[in-house]
Amino acid sequence: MPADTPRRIAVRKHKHVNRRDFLRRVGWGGVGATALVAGAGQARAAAPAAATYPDWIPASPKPPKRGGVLTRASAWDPPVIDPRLTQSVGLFQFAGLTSNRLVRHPFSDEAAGPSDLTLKGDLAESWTASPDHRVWTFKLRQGVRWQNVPPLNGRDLVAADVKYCFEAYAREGVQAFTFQEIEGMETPDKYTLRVHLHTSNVLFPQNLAEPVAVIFAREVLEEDGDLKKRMLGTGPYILKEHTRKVRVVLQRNPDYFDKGRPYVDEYVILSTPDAATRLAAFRTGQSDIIWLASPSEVETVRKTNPAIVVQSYHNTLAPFGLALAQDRPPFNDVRVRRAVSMAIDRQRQVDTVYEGHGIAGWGVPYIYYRDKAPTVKDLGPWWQYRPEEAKRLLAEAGHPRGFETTLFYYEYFPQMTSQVQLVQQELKKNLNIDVKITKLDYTTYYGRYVEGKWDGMSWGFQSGHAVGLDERTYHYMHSKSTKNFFRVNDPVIDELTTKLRRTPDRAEQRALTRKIVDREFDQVLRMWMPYDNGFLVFQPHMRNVAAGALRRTDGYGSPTITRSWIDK
Amino acid sequence: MAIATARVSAFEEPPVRTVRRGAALWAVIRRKPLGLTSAAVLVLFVLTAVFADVLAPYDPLATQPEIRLSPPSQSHLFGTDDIGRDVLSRVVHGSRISLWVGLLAVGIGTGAGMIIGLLCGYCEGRLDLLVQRLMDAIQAIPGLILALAIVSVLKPSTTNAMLAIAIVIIPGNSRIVRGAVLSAKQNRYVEAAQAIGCRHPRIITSHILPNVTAPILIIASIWFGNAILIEATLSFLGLGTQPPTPSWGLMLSSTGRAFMEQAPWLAIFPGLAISLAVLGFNLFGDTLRDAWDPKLRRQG
Repeated sequence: MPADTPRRIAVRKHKHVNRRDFLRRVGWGGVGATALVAGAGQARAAAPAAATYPDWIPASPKPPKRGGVLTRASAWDPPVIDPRLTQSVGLFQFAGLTSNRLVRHPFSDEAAGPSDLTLKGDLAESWTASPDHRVWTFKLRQGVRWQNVPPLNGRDLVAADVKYCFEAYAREGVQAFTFQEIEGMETPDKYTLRVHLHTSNVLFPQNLAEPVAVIFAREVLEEDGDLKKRMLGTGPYILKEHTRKVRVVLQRNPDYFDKGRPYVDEYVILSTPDAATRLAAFRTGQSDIIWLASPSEVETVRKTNPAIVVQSYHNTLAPFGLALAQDRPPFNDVRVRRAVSMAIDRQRQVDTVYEGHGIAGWGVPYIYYRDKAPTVKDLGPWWQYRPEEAKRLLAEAGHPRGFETTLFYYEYFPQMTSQVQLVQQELKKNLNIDVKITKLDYTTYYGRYVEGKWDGMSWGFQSGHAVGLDERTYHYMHSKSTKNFFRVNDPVIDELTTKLRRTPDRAEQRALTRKIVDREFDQVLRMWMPYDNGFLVFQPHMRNVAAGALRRTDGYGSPTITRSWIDK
Repeated sequence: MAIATARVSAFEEPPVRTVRRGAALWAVIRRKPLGLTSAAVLVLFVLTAVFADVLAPYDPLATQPEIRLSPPSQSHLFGTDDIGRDVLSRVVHGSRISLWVGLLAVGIGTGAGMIIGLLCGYCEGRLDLLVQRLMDAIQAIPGLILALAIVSVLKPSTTNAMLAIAIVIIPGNSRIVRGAVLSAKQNRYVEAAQAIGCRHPRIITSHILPNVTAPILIIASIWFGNAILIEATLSFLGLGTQPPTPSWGLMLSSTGRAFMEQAPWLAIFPGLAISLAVLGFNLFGDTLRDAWDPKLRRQG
């Protein structure tokens, strides 16, 4: 036993932990903790098989109850609250509750099922078109009042308000392309709006039902010069608080035109970018709704919260795909695009990354041209996994030894990184294409992708908000559209998408949409990638919250919360 | 005669037993088990990095999504990740990135810091004043924030992460070397060298540098651990190594965090590797200090 040195004595007297002692303790502590966690990990490793969940939750037969606070931990935060400047889900997870549109899609308590997209009047009571579908007349609902907040103070909504709003959308911002289609507007009386379009468009009301086409207050824009500070509308909720990256608080609008609604007194959206925190908030009852991507995640939550209500969501399209710089070599050669597509095993991604609960990937909602969701086989020859054929085609295109390219992306969700790496591996293995991956932050990624200032590949997207067929075809694929992020430049597509908006017959619309999709698949104009179906999970006391196709309750489909209620 | 001898010896320096640095280090390692452990960890770390190709049971990039998120088993000792890659192989290969980052970042940072410190300490005056104020300015920014800013301006990559870490290291090192040089300059052998007309470069390289290497090496060994940690942090934030390259920080951030609940082994093993390597370098730095710091040596 060594004798106590003065230093040792001093250390003991003051109970001082020096760096060396600390490191020693950390070392042993770390070993112990690791052993513990590793043991726990082994126990948790075996995940049970996924149960089957319903894809629709019918409306509650019970009479709705008024009151309560609905809380949701949200992954998104509005970058700005001016609806002219963004289509971000961060804003439209609540903008559809503070404001209305002229027309809307059915809420969950009035829809026949998730795919019911019958247009219903929102601020408009009825709408008619001229025989050539160039002039659309909307009769507004009378007695609709703006929220009782200065400077509007609950005044009546009139047709001139809607006209002003559409003109403002056409002047600037991300929705300009949609509203620049309007040649002129007139208001023959206080409650009638007549819209003259440059060209025929039978699908125009669909564009006005998009979740982003909300009617804002002219007074706010005139007083503030923009809509960045205040959001006032005619909607069921009044925006009480918006603290960026903290929370959004919506309070029931007592003067809402749909008397008796909404049922919930307050809706609080907590900005929670971290998935683990969102999950913890849901598990402890601090959040009423959560989105989960995989069956195993649902099973994990069910272990601690067995009473949860789960809706198995079925996507009608994939928002993400491999966007290629197809306006320049090598991707301007259709053979290269086809070869790349055939070198990727999509079914394998669905079966593994999405645990079988995913779709192979396509861009136009299938409900517009077929009854059942397509399988990989239905996508055509260039979408099958045929590495040998891919290799032959790439050699034929003049790249027998492959080539080098780049791919940039932003990780919207963890499975995306898995997909990016699987694609990279398959392109290397099957075609000797060397893909250098760069993972970017959201702002850099979004700016670079949307502005089109990139070469090679990007894990690209089509905007997630759109429900309507016109937006999903003409707006996203026409060569002249500002929303054509995949750089599609195909005269056949231009012709077909233009023809579609001039075709009033539903059956013909379906046939034309099918042709557009077939052309897209044949030319591999947008290389869609598998996407999850996911699950919407609710606390057991939530009623009338089911999500419809293309409009999730927690996202762009938020207006359905007007009819939701809390059964406690 | 005897009296005269005694008088002369009273003015002489007391006899010092010269111990070579390597021998001193070995003595400390043998005496302190923690030193031995840290040295063993480092040897293991370096060997793993060098022989990663031989040690890894699978190709770290080979995907097999059919067995994704498999728990540790006999065939995959550390389990598999989200696309069925062997986690053990990725941890083994990840040591290469960490070692490479540590070596290069600390090499550049220590080298540059040493040169700046030597020049400032030896020349003093206006050069010292200006350069050290610049170092103060860099040091005023927290290291990680500075590294983040540098990598954001450049492009996310391992090389740029290394460069950023090196820049973070430079000011601290230059300060330490400068202090050691200022002290070493006061020694008689330096004065003697100046008196016999030695040129400045020779004085710096032959007389001052060998006497300031001990603190440099100690600090470098500690920075090695920090560099690994910063690289892991940058990769964790998506600003360092890019997928699919196996990096401990990236493994923690991309799959470790995302699948923490379903597959905790994805976070445990790279996390453990980072902890071990950093702890190893820190403890080894302490051991070096025990061996080479005269004050601590005197305390026994």
